[in-house]
Amino acid sequence: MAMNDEQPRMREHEMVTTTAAHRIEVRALGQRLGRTQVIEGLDLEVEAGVFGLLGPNGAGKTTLLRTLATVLGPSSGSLRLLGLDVADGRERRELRRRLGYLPQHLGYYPNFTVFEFVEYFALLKEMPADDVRRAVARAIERVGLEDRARAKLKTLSGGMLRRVGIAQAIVNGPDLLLLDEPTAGLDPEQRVGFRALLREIGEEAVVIVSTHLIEDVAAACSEVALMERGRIVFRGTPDALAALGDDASAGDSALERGYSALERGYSRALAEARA
Amino acid sequence: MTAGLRLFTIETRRNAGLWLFPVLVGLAWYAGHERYPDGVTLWIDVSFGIGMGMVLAALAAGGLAAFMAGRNRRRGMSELLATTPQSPAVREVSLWASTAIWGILAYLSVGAYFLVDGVRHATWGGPDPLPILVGLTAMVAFSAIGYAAGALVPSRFVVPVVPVALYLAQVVALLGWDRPSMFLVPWGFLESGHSVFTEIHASWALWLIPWLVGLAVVALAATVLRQKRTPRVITALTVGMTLAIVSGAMLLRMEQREGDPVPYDSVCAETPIPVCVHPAYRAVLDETAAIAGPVLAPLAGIDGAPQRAGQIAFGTDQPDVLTIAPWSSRYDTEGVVAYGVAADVIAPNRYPNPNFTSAGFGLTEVQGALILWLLRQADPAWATETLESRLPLLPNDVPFEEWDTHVPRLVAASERFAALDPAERHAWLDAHFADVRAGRLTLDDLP
Repeated sequence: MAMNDEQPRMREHEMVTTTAAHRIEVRALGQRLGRTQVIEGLDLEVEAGVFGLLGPNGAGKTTLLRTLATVLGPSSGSLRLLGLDVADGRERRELRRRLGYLPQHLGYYPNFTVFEFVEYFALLKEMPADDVRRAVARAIERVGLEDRARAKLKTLSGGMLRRVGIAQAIVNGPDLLLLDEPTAGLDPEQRVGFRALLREIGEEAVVIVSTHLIEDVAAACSEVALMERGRIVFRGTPDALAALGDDASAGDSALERGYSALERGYSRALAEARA
Repeated sequence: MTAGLRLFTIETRRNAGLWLFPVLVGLAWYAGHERYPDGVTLWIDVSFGIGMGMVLAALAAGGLAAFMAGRNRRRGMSELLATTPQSPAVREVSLWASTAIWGILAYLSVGAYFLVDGVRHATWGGPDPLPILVGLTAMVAFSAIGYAAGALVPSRFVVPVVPVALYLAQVVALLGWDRPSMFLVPWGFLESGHSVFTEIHASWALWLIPWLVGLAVVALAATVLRQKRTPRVITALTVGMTLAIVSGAMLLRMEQREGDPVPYDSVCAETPIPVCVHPAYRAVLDETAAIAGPVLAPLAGIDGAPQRAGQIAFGTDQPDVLTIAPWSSRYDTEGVVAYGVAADVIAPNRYPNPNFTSAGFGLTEVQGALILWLLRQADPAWATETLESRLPLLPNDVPFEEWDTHVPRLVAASERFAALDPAERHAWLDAHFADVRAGRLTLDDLP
């Protein structure tokens, strides 16, 4: 299976030279859902590579990904993704051709086969008709489902469905890949393979992964950010995050301890500010 | 294969319509077959029979479309689809088309079956495209309306409600059969009288088709407009509304009328009183004459008796022609048909008993006795069947329970009349036939 090829983690200095076409720029982003201000004044620039998004539940990670995926229009601020202004209808459409998105809760059509489902999205992403079948086969192969390509989705396990979701996200060879909890439901072997796939895609594309699994970040991400209450409170390399940990911090790995220390520190600072 | 076609192919193959297809075929066949001719096959009946296939199938197609329109919402796919560049118009129309195609295929499959049967058996005229096209556009329009309802009303109940609502909307529009709204309903056109005697109401069909197309375009444009307002969608909505309003207004101004008569020369059997049918029914002339001929034979040359028995267009009664229907085994036995011929010639002015409380049908006893005589002299089995089936022979005011008391008097009178010398019988009929038909005689007047 292609996902089994563990490769050395890419470091910042190994990133490919990026241009506006391989960069996202978020300025003063505000996102209000109903009466709740989910994201407030968020600035973010990300270039090609795998970018991990960490944070507790309700921090705004999913809302940020949905905004970047153009599911939600920003309440305030501006987005320039891959050099394209999402406020402009024509540029947004061009962006969507180059976008891959895996939502937290993947819907699917139970009677479609794996091949048909991925092909369906390839067609909706307006891929050239001549390239579609080859690209679909390649995407299915990359997530290790080639032997289930003709199986109907309703016959697949949760982990396999997650891989189908990943396949539809990468079928168009996206320049911007947004994945919300992509490894949920994958077994350890599949997760190892998936990380390798992420690193491979991240060599040329901007990949943003929202996850609760620190080890995914450690293994796959060249850069990581921690979100708290709609803001980014830390940004750096996984090593930098790990360095924040100490013996008093909870966690089984250096990265988990760094994450815990950062969260504890932020919570304490917030409590002091409130007091 | 283009991307759009491939999208349509995938949607079609995995559509719920595939599973519902046998049901759609069954409904189209049932509704069409109900109107399909038995006995003589005429192209006009075949064409309207095909069109009638929509009456039930279009309701089911509407419900199916409502179900499919809610698919993305039901499956939690809306978010993912929103991130694709393909326009909602293409997505929605592709899903609708791949759903509607199953209803259309069912309708056309049944239509093809009827057409093949028509090619093999039809004896008169040729296929008429108008009722077939009206049925087809109704299938499209009902499916589009159902799709719009399913997309715009996020409720699980919309699927069963759509077919019921479409049915009720038609029934309400058709109530009374004399309101202008009936012209808006394809079912109304397909149920309207059609025959080989008159041209069909072509202008009705020709305005129904753009009306239905307009409704379909409005429904689909409204569905897309919910997601995205583009000049193209607004243009489609405007065009659809214009089409629907103009053609709807023309339909509401339409008047109920008989079509123009189509000239023809009857074909007749050489019976004492000639029995004639429209040439389209030539195939059943012998069967028709074999019943009507013997029943009417003793009346040949009687003053006031019909000169001819034949099939004539509705509403064009002629005093010297007894109107009879060509033979069909669909509804009646030979005895019942023979009774109808005898009753029509002896008691043309009988009227239905409005309360159905008595054995009679506005007949006098003399008329009942003479009907029995005509049947018995033609074929005793027909008289027996009339008596056993208790077909109307008695006056209106005779209750059913007194049937057995009164009928023996009629039987005795008819046997007495049958026993008369033919010349005497002929002379009596010649003198009294008009009084018999007018119901002015009592049983005592019968020799």
